Amino acid sequence: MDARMTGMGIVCCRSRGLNAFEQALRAGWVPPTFSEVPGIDRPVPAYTVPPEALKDKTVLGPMRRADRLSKMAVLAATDAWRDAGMDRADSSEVGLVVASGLGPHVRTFEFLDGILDFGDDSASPTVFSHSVHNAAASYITTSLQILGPVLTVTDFDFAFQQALTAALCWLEEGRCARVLVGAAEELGQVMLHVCARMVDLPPDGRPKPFEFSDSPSTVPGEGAVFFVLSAEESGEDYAAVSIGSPPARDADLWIMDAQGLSGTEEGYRELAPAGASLANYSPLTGGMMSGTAFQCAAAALSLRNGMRYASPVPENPHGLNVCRETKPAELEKISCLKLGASGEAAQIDLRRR
Amino acid sequence: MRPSRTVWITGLGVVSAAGVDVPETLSAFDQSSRNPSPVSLFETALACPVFEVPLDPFPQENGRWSRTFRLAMLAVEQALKEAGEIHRDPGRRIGVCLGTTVASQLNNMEFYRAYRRNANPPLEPVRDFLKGNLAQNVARSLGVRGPWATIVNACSSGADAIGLGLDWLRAGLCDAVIAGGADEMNRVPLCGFHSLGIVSDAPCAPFDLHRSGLNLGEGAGILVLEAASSRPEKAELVLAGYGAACDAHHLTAPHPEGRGLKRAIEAAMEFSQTSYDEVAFLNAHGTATRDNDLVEGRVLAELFGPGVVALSTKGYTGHALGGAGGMEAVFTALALREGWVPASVGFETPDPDIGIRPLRRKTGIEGPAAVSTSLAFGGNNAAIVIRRVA
Amino acid sequence: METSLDELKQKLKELVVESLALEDVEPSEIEDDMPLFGDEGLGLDSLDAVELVVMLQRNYGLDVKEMQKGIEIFRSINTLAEYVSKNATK
Repeated sequence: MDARMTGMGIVCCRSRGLNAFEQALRAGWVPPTFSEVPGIDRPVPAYTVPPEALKDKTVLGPMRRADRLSKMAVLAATDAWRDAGMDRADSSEVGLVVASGLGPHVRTFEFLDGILDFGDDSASPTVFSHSVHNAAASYITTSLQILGPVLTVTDFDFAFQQALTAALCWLEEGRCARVLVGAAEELGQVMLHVCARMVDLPPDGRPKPFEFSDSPSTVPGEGAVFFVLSAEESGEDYAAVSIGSPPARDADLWIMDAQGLSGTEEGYRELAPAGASLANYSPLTGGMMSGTAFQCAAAALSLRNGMRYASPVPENPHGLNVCRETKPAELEKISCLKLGASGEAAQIDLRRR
Repeated sequence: MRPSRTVWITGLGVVSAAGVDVPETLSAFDQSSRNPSPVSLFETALACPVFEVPLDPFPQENGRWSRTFRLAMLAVEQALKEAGEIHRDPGRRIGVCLGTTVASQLNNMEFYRAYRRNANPPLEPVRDFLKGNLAQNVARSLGVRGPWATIVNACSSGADAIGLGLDWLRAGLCDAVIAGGADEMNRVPLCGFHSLGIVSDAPCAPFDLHRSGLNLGEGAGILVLEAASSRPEKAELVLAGYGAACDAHHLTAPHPEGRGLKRAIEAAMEFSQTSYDEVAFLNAHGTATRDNDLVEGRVLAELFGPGVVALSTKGYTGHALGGAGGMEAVFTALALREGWVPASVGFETPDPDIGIRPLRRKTGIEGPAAVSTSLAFGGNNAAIVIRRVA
Repeated sequence: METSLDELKQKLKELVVESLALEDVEPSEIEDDMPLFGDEGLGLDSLDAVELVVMLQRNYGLDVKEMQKGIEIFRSINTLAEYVSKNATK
């Protein structure tokens, strides 16, 4: 099963929009911001979405109660919709799948605040209704008037792969003509506290995406990215996308989708074919459980623009062929490979045509 | 839509306040008996009646595994036993697709209380949470190899998980799917639904004129689905269709004309090539809130006629959130197999605004098909069609 | 507890704006008899209604059990202030 990617939208630490993301791919790695986090004795690095990226009166005006996660998701989904040239006439034939590892945890803890501060019978219904995993999807459907099937999937490693599979199944079944599929993650104080205690955060803020160690070093990020997938070609497509069978073969570029949040990464050392050209773009956006979606965005831009983008933090102690230079290249196929916490592997293939 | 590639239902498993397995559940349905009572599983100031499962499943794992997972595994084991333990066959790819709500959230009170006090909070609850989500944990426990996914679509999660399992099988991604949903009784949704003003102080009365809100429940409902292409023997029941559509209206209120529910039902009926007069009965979502029952009832009356045999089993089980869609698919399959539906317990007085009149007593059914509907916060609507093969 | 009805109305306007995250509304812009719900006036919806119930609970110890009653109480700042001044337990 495959589908054509006809539109894309993204919100990340480099701000909102494909231009900002493309500039980030060219400019390379920048250090994260460091902040004080309750209960942690050193500043914690993170890649956060800047407030100005979430200002849009037209789109967000009707969403005054929405949480940050929902806002990021709606903006990225709206941008993808517009990028694909869609209008309201299409909406009854559009489905939506949203992937998130941690969902709206900020509102969840806020809801617990209400229970602990005011009692079981005085908790906030607004906060509760935003603390459910499908709140972001609900806002996207209302904002874009999407009337087809809607799904939110959650997984700590493969949420985006699962979302993509569901989207491809729907197109195959004819449940809808197009699917808006994407991922969204947010950061918050509680999760940064947890991250700082459970994950190896580099003191200088520079992650090690190719170290492939037992205890990966990463900097967490947040953001949202959405794609419009269509069963039909339109000539303006970014790529054809499909679920591949690992290990990857015959790709022009392999994205080693090590996000630093799935435990040991030693298994990546055997996955990369000898001499193959490798990249990992997660240092641009920060590590996220559903960060695969951002890797796919980089891959799609590569294919459409005819560019091989340098991997932002290329140091690798294993003598791998990590792409160090951004230059024009007519790539035909990019494979994105991820290992889960228990050693399972999943692959997404993107092809030019 | 393409003509259907047959998917059998070869195993059923269910645990709810109505019973810890299929025989107990059928007995409760037969007697029209139910037992709502105040929360006993945790401390709360809220006195509203709920439907708890009167069992600590796999008690030796209590503390290590969540109650949601243990409820799910109880139902999974029942369903697999009926299906012939297909998970033990290493040659078959078996997927796991489950819906849930509470189990997907990090909402451990002890952890968060400690965090707020700035006393180094214990990370054990977080580690437990991050061990893997519901579907992945079930897949790992069974040692199956195949796709997995955890669907978090609020109250339609279980139904949507079954629908995705159906699509996986038709796409050839695996040979069989363990599909359904599970959710445990939990303080967070209890407080949450109460804050929305839709929880009743009395045992719930779905579709009743005087209904005053829902009762929370818990449980798990699991179907074993097998692609006919991977299983030569016929089965009695077919998962014939699934349809889903969104209201695109509001975060918590259903579309006043139920436009998403209508599209979902129409899609499921078309997908399954079932005509409306073949439908023996409807297992409605029927939460007993003023809004849901009004919208849903009107749509069902419009599509199937006001005389259609209809019921809500939430009078027996409460609303088990992510578990509901799975449980109700099981109840629908059971009713087709057994040839009768229970009384829609809790319903007494018809609401003239609604149109449908649920059953007040156990009733024999005629017709090869049945429909189960689910409506969720966020505007998701799902419909499942199950058919009995002659 | 506010000593005058005017002070109470002012406080209620602030609480409405705060608890409902009405970003673009100044409390002073809410007129005392402006309809809070529906398309004219403030345009609040069903989720706002239940949030206001919690607001009354937390700030004034009031428990609005039935939504029918709630619709009358929440009609405007005037009706809200009247209800609170007659019934508040905090």
